[in-house]
Amino acid sequence: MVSAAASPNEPPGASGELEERFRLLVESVKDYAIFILDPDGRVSTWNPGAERIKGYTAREIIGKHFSVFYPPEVSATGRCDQELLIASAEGRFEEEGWRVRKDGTLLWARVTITALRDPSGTLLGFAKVTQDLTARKEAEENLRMLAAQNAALAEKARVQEFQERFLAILGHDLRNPLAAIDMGTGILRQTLTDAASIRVLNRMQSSSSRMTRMIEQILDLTRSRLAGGLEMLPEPMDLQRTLLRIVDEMHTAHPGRTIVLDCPQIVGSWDPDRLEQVFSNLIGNAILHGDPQHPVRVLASADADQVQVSVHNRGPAIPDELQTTLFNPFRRGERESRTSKTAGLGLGLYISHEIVRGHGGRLDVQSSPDEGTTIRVSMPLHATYKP
Amino acid sequence: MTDAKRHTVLIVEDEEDLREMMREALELKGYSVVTAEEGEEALRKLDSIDQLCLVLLDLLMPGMNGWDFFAALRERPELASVPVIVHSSASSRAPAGVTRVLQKPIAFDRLISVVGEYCDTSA
Repeated sequence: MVSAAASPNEPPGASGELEERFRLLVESVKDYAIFILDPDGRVSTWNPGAERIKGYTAREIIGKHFSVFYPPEVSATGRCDQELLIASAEGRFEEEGWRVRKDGTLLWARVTITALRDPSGTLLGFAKVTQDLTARKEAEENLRMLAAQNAALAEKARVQEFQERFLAILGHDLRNPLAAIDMGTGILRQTLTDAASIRVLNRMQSSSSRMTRMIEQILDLTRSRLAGGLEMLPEPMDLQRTLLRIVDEMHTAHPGRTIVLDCPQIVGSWDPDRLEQVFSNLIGNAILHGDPQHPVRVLASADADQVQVSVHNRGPAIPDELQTTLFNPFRRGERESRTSKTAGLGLGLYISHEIVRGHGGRLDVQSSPDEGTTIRVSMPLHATYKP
Repeated sequence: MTDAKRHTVLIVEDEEDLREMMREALELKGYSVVTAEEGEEALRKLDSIDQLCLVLLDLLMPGMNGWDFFAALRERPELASVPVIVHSSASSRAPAGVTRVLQKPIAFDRLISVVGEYCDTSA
């Protein structure tokens, strides 16, 4: 092992014997790198602790500038010289920071640099003691990461709990009073006979139905945005029968309107309740926004693995700026332009879009003053649930 | 003896307004009604009901919930054949073995028509 004696700048000892004892002491230290720098910062002694911590042998490192111990981006700033200046001016410099081993790996070191002067005050060099605290630093980092992970988990649990509570309020707590109101209007309908009371009852019932629909929509929005998506439960389903029933209901609700359905028998796997929701929404929109002089046309076709259903109405085109945001929830402009007959939450198309997407399909819109508006559903004949 | 259907409906529902409104609706149509606001109370009242034809059961209730009530009901052999209709906002989670599931809110006409399938009026 090359020893401190290799340095031409070695500080003179009080006596040869004492110096030898001191040299043996330094030689025996394994846990600290203890070495001396000349006044310019070049390594002039090296101990086994330094070799163990830094990875250089004495032969490799003696005579080199101590900036090699610093990460390149740090040494490039001239920081090493500043540290020597501070040590020189104040007697000592201390810090903890990242250093580089010979193999390029980083170590977290506690460093003390002490200026060495002769009795007349002339700077002879610097004693540098370095302790490797990488293990402690890593343990601290691990603890910090664990704490951050725990905090993130706790936050996630808190958000989830809030979502579940919110869904419970929407799904249960708000529906119960509405159920009571619905039941009440039904009872009164049995007993009231005068026209004014029945008009009032009809208003109450349509308001409570609208409220029920809005709660369903908010529930779907919450599920799709916060709670991992709308769940689809595909099962064998006859599309023709579903469309016939919806068209039938729409005829009953809008006796003055014509709805033309062209749908061969198409059997596939979809969520029946959810698709009913989609087509009720699309056909309902076509009736609401379409020209009453022209029929609403519902066309369905299928090939080996895809089904397409288009819902078309004549009438004013959807403005271009609205077409790009048609499937967004709470569209801008919708609130201002809606009338009492359309008064909803502006969520119907968004939810329809989410449902079709959940079936692995897509929803497209084409609208022009000449051609009218067509909304087209394309989806696999046998849907696989895609949250 | 005739094989006339029984006429008393047990409504288990924690929401008071809805519970009482359903009672009004069914009594208006001539059925007898017993109500309970959770499962334990319903189990206690079962013994005193003479002509039980149907249980209308909510699921989410404080105290004994609908799932536990249904399990307890099915453990009583003399009541095992009583139809149980779940009327709940959590209808998709109804216990297996119930007679029927209705999603809340149910309209008056539908309630009357469903109950009519299982019960005779007392009038």
